Amino acid sequence: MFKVETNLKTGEEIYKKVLPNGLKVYICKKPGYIKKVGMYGTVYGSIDNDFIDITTGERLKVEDGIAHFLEHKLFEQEDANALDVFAKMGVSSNAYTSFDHTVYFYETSSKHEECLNKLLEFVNTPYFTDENVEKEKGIIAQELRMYEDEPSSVAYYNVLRAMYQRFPLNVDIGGTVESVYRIDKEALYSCYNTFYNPANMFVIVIGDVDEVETVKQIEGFFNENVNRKTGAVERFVLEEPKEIAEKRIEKKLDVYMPYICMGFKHEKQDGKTNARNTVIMEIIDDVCFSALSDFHERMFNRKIITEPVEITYESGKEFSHTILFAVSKKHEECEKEIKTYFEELRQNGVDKELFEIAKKKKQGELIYDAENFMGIHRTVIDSIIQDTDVFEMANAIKDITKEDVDNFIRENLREDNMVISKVTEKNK
Amino acid sequence: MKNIIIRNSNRFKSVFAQVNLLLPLTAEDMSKNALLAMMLKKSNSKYKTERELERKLAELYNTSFGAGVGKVANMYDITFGIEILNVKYTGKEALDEAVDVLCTSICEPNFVDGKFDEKTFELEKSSLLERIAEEKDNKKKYALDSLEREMFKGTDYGYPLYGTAEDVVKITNEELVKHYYNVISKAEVVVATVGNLENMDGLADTIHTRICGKCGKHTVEFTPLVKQAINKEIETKVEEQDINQSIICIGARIKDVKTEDVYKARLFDNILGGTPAAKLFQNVREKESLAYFAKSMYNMFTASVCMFAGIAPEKYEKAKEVMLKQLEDIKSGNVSEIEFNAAKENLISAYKEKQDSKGGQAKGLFSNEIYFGRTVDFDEMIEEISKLTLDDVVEIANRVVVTNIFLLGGKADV
Repeated sequence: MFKVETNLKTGEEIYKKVLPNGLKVYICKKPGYIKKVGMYGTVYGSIDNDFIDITTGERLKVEDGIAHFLEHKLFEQEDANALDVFAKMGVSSNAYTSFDHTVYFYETSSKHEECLNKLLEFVNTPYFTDENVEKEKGIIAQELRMYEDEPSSVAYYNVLRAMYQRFPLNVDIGGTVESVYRIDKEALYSCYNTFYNPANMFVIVIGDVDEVETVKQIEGFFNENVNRKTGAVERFVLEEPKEIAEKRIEKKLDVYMPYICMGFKHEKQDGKTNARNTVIMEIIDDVCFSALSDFHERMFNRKIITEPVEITYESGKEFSHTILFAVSKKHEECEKEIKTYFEELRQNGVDKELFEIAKKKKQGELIYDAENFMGIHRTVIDSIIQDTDVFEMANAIKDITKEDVDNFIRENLREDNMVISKVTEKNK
Repeated sequence: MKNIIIRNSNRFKSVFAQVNLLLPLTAEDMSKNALLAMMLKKSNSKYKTERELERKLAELYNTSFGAGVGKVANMYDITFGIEILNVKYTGKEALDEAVDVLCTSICEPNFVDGKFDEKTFELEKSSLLERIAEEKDNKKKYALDSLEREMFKGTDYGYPLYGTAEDVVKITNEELVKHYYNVISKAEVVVATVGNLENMDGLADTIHTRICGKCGKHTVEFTPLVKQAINKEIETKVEEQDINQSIICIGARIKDVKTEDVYKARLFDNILGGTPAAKLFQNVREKESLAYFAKSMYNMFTASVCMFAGIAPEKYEKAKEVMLKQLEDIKSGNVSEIEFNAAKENLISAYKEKQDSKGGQAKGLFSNEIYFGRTVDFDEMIEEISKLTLDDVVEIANRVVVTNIFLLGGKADV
């Protein structure tokens, strides 16, 4: 009945089952741990703003930030709030929204079955009124204001704006204060009915639990309580040109330390390629930018940076790009050095000896990852969204060669697909 | 107090080993301690540059090594930590090498002709200066640190953790060398190992013996609670910053505090602002829509509690009023059974779940050794918390005195 996936290096096992209503269930076994985590999520995030409403069959375009708004509201029922109910059970719970998914979760040491039922109950019982929707706007506005003061957040969203001309990665996950104030309960219900249908959702349980009992419980809940229209969601995705939107965006904030964020825009890839590219980029980060690298030593010794520059590959079903982060008081010099360094890397490739060390480091990392209790959920969600095996990345590491890394740099980290976003000092 | 803490569990695949060097807390040594920790973390007599050291750690299957500093009551704490895989994954040789990295970093600095390597010294000094200048960029942390400085103004505890930029600039290489010998001739050494210790018996002892072989065994005299008179009137300080959101922090102290008050105080703090069922979240956020975050935090070593929230600048008076009201409500016993039980359950779960975290256990058990002067396990804490009643919470709440308010980013006419 289960499909079992195994991490070849650590022996970690994940049990997967798709229920008749289309809900995907994953059980990640953690023998010996006290904590148990339950997550209930939907493949729905800020980029899903144009779709066919599953109830009316009509195409609908919605306000920016509505997926995140929905996340705030779904933990609320007529006479209770989920955060509150969980807290009253002594259990901590939370939720988050990303570009392409939304997740609700709890962590408990003793009341797992009860919590799992509550979580499923809450997310399956929307309760929106004009009044409670209105009340949430003030809270969300403060959340958006908080991010506007965080230089890393500002630099990151601006680098996406610089890369994307049409694709909605160019809007903050939470939308804007203005768009949030235009959201009403009718729009929330349309999004809810469409994207929170079991066929578009997943449950992940992490901990020392019995997989058969857990799945039985989940199946029982849906049989008894949920009878909504289910099915695949039809989305409309704007065709994104290969070309970047703007070469550079700069913003001044009341900060001491400037932030540099560089983006390299890639074309969308299939899930297997994305998993492989993610690992390749982790190796590039270690070999070329971490404290292991000659580059870091050089830049540190010249007092251009104090912390290592970081580079990551980000992807989804409809996009892929690379993001580089640096903080530097000498941001102009820093930018110039990084650009020159990429030219060298494109020409000469990466250091051979360091490449071997980085691969050895990666083997150790895999074992630490198996210990990272919460970490596994992102890997599972990526595999759902991108339709790959859960351990695709972990099992891909051994086959990656220096040539793969060199080719990736040459083909994807170019001058013409690169954009720059900076946050610099207002009062300099 | 025990100087060696060991917890073994096979749910883990790795081990976290922590070394604490405890020193008397004095304002004049803060910046030297901070700089010293940075220097020792970056290189040592065997691995002369950060790059060489990092390469070694990567080869040892991604062993991580770090150093940090903190204030623990009237002590300054320089902490070193490594995370290593159990020997079954790496072999004995890799374990020995990892332990060697940790001990060499503490015992054998990268001295050239009796001084720290001059280039490294200059670079780390400017790194520390940047770190101090950069503190303002993390608004929430900066606001909370500023509140603490205000609350303990004039005491060594109230001095900034890294010292000031003026202090750092003045440090010479010779002085730092002198300070290093001073530290190792005075520091009390505490070693904790938490994780999968199968076939790694004696790891903590090995580390402790090797470090004490260099430092000797000392005891630092300490009082677990920071002593300072409590203000009679609330002092308010506003620091203007050009930011979109203001951060309000309200600081309070517990009067006539005793060691055993810690359980009551933790429960009180959890009812006030520790969870989403707590009074601050429910009223400042859910009822009044004033903030996205509204919490409280208790520090057992200073017997202080601070409440904080991120608000629209024009809502300062309203937020202050609502926040202070929550404290008053607890004082007058206005706590529902649900609120009380939620806070209690949550606290108990948090202690239970600590056992799933190597770092969390090491840090928690170390703090307990210092605070209680004896070993207090999480089970004992759970038992003590289970016994508490609402009367206990009301009793301690009535000893809570608000002393300071710090507002970051607001208007000056507050």
